[in-house]
Amino acid sequence: MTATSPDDATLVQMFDTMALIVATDDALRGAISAGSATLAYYSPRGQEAVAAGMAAALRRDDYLVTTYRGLHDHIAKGVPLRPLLAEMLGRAEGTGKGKGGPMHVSWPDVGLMLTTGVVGSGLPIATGLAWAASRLGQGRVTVASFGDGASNIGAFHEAANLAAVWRLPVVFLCQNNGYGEHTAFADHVHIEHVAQRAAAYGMPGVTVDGNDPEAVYEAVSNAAGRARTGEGPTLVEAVTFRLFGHVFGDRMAYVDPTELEEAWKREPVGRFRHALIDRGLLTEEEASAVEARCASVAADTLAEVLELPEPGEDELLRDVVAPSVVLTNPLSHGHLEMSVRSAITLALDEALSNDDRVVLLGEDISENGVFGVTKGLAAKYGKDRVRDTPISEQAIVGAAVGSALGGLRPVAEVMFMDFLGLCLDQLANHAAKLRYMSGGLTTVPMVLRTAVGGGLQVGAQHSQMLEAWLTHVPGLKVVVPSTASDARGLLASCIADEDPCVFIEQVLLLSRKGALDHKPVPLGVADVKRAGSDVTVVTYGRQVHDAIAVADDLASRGVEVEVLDLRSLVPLDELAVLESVGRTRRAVVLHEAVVTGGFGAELAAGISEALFDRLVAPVLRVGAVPAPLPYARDLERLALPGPERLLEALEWVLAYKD
Amino acid sequence: MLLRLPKIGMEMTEAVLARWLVDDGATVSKGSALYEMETDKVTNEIESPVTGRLRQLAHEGVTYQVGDPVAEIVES
Repeated sequence: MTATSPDDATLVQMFDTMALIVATDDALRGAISAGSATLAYYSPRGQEAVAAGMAAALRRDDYLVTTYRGLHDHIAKGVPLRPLLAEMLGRAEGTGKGKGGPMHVSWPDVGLMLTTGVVGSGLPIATGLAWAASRLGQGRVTVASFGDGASNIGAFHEAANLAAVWRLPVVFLCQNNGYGEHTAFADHVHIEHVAQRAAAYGMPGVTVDGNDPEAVYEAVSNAAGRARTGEGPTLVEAVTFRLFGHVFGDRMAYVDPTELEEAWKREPVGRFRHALIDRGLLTEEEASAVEARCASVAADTLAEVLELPEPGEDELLRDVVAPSVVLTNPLSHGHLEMSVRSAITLALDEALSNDDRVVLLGEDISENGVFGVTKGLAAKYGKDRVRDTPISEQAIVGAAVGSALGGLRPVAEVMFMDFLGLCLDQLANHAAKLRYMSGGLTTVPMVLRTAVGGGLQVGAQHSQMLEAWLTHVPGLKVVVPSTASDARGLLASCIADEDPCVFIEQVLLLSRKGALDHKPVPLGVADVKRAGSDVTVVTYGRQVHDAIAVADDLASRGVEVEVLDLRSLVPLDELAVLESVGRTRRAVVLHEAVVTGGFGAELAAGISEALFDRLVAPVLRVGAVPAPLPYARDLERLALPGPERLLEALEWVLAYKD
Repeated sequence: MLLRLPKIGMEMTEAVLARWLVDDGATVSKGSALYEMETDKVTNEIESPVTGRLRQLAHEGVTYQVGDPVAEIVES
């Protein structure tokens, strides 16, 4: 690699950036000491050169993903100081209207797409941003900034591998500041340099002096150059030191005083100032003038921000989800009969055909996928758009989050819902929350398809309906189809939606056939699958069919059961539930998931709260028993809620007389 | 400038002013340690954000809430 050295103007600009970081840090620490600002503050002091060198080597529109110790990165990348400080202090003028806070700053105008408070989690998202930029031909590079501590997290390894395998334009920039929280580097990493880890993924790894902005500039410049010309990712390790500890108030008792003293001797800003004066690029007076200007800008901005109002109550529920997108054009293939599997394939096929931004990713999906749902799509649309991934759930979901942030409409597949445990951080902490935490500046229009094997005798790790994990997290939409027509219509709506949607495919339903309908199926609209007047079964997914069968039996005894298919759990069609149960005055809630803490508890509580004086019987819940799903055939049948238990519950509520 | 009891760490609500490190009326410089405060978790030295003459407003051994006035510094 040929070194790309910064020119004189860039050197002076980098000093300016570093001086502004110091001044801002100084102002913030002063305000915290004086008790006028109250926040958990992670000072970037000591790491100024990394941020200044990195940002100077990038284009304004290059993407940056950083971490909660990211103030220096934010400033260097060009986030304006006023909204930045306002966010740190929870003011309405903040980047995220004060709803994200210092750990969650986004400013897409300068490519800052994410600041995460979860160590390492930004890295898979960076791969997705890079994939989007590359697919959209933007020539943008994505820098993923992280610490030495993050290099031990699975997300780092999954992201590094994915970026290398896909040759993505990513620069992994490790700011090795010597400590992961309070643990010294040598106590948490058993090699000399984080950059050595690059070898494991087949990418170049370089270690530079992170206190020298020129060295960082050169390394990032070279890495960005490789990325832009299609040569793939690079791991750059900038070795530096965290001069003020982990968080404000950390007395650094775990640091040897000599080590700290030595670190201060290598302090980057003073050192660079000397170098520029020695080289005649700045005079002593000019350097002081830069520092004085930065000090007054930082102090004045902070003083202004302290006077700004906090967000009003009207912001509380705004930006949780985007305004709904309702499809209005009739869907194709009305009345054509097909399986749920083919209906899902059709929805994917049509989405890929209608919108170039739609991409699929997941394990083995270019073949057929494990259940044949993606069959034929790679042949039709290419393996770049129907993309196989390593077995790396965090990377799959993270790449979906990142590519959605970057303008694609990804549909990711996680083979079994049980594997959500491997990627729940990406889904629950990132996909679900980025819109809210950024005050609506960013949004994550992704779909996650996932299969559930309950009833197939595949054991407790391939069978779980875990929808309650997801419905509990504001910001996620959750969909469970029961018929071919709904599967196609709901998936089309999910792909069109601006928010992250999880689409749950129960394997036992996949071969079930039904006729398609022309009518679009909006999210949040339940469907009466069988009308009745005596009792309502509120259900979703394959249990809808059990409920219809039991209802047909009861009809012969003169009891009319209404079967209400929710179709989407979030958003929930509360009006349909209350209208139906308000009329029948009796309700049984049925789902495949374990009853304890299940979504049925939410439904039963909601019905009871709203209709207490209308109900003639308690709302009963029917679901799986509270045990891991057993393997043996008869035991599994006993564990899952079959028609017998539904019938028993219906008889129980019907026994109550008005 | 009025100095209030700072919030240090996510869960702090109050602290004991353990010890003044400078006398009432003394001149302090920016960055110098003013007092020690003690929470259940840790003892911290609080530094002066500015240079000036200090007037103590709080007493050793007393528990204060985050945001309570602790001192005033007349900047010089």
